[in-house]
Amino acid sequence: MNNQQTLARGWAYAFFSVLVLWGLNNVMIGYSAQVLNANYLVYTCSAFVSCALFLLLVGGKGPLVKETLRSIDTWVFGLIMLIGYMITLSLFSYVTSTEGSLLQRISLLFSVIVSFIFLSRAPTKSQLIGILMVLIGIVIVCRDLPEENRGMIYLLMFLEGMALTARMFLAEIHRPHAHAISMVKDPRAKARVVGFVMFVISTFFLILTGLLALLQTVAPLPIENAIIPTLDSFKHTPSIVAGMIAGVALVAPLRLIEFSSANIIKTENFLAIAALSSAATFFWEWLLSPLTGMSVKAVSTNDILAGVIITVGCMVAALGQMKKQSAKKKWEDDLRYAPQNIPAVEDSREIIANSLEHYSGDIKKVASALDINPSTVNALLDDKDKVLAFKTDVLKNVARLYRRHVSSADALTGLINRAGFMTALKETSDPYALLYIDLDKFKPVNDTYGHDAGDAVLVDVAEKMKRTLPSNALIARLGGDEFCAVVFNINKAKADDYIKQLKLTLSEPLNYNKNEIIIGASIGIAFAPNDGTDPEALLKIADQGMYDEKKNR
Amino acid sequence: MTPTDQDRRKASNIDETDIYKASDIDAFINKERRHDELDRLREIKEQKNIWLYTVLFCAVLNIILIGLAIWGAINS
Repeated sequence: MNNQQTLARGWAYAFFSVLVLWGLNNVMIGYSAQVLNANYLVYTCSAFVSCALFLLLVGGKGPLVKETLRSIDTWVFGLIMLIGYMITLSLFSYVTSTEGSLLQRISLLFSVIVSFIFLSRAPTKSQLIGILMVLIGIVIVCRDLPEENRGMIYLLMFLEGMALTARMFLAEIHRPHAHAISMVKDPRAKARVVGFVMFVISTFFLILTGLLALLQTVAPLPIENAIIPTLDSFKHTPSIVAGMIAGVALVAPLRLIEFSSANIIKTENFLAIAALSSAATFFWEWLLSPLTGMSVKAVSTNDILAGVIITVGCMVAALGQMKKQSAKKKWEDDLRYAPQNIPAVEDSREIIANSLEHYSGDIKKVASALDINPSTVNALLDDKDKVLAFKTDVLKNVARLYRRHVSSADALTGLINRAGFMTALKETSDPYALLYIDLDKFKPVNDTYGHDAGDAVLVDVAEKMKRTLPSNALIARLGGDEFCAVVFNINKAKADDYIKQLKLTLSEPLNYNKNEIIIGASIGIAFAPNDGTDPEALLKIADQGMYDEKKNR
Repeated sequence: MTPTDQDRRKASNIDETDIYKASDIDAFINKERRHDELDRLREIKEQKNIWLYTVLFCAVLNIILIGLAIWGAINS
């Protein structure tokens, strides 16, 4: 999966989680509280505990278990989530749920500031416009707030915004989760990591809720407060059953997607999309009202106006970023101004120069092989003052691709060269047959028809070898008219068959400028592990076999 | 160049996924003589144990909550 596909998946995940999972989860919370009379904290405990068990079972046994539990990221995430929930509950005790969810959007401002200061992600125009619209919307919401509680509401709004921002940033940079994403062969690793994170959070929640319930039972608060549970709240069947269903069906996929999406599309963008949660909740409430029996709450005109402005603002910020991320990369994305860093500048120029030589000056092919924009190649070619170099993270990828496509490839035939061949052989553990092929009557071709004809013959030989040998065979041009091929998991009889076929195919005439060129091939063979496992030694054995054949002819 | 433990680990014939799936990891440990492989197997054993104990603890929490819910349902 390439970068663009990964990004598209990240955005799709974010929209799905907010529009479907987040909306349904809010409806479920509302249904539990209003229809089932569930205690919110007990409901949340059950949801988190069942979510943790579900994700742990889905994740299964595997690596990153210890790392996740011992990671400070996990514990800080749990603590911030706990604090965030407490702040949310406090905020929602002063304002309506619609007002509360609109005030939460202050998180867009905090996330853009944090990403700029700590992660060097400069805000874009669309983000700045989005933030401005969010602030206007928040001012509109605040106009209607009860005057006596405004100070407390403002404080809780800022704390809530900061907690949400911190939580999502921790999801984005969570180190064990980032490691899990890179483990392509173990797709369940992400669920395992998030499962352990949820386990930590559920333990936090259970301890806190249990303590609150105990205190409320032993020494009740003098005020009536439905949120604080008693020990009897833990025996409220609907709270626990509804929580457990929500935990498995909604919270588990929501957390899993939240982590992946924040990592891929970045926190500030995920929080911008989160603005749709209010509209999504309203939609699901309306759609499911015949089933739930809940009436859709009337929302004041003031809140509708604020909601529209805030949602549009967040969408402007999110869609602007989406467009920017999906746009074709410019050379400024790959290169940096580094006049002081002479080695970096020289390395970058050398990579481009060698690659251009390898691809006969074809800029598009170079750009494609190194996964950079053609304008990057042009920018480095035009850099007469020698001040441009690849950015550090880009250089890592470019160097890897350069090693794979250029430094280990034969420019004429496109086969791998000697260095690439030896590296590949050292990395293989399967048994194989190594064929050493030297062309017969090649020198007269060069002498008679010129070097262009010789080059044409070499290209033709490479094509014929690819056609004759199995698709997983490793074919290399060692230099001059010497080729090598490695065929995996074959016995001697099969290897002899391939040698016969190769000799037959390579002796077929090649038409070059109305001339018929006929060559032949001498082939030596060595088997790994029967003749040894050291590639250099095997190459010598096969070379000797080829030489003996040539001599005995 | 002398191969490092990491090189040897990369060249190991035992697939890590198979070891995680194996019910008796001690059989691998008793058979293994290379110290770097032993370290790896012990690490996997520790990871498996932590996972198992966490799942058991989490399952117990779930059972307690379900038990309380059932108790509440019976009493009401």
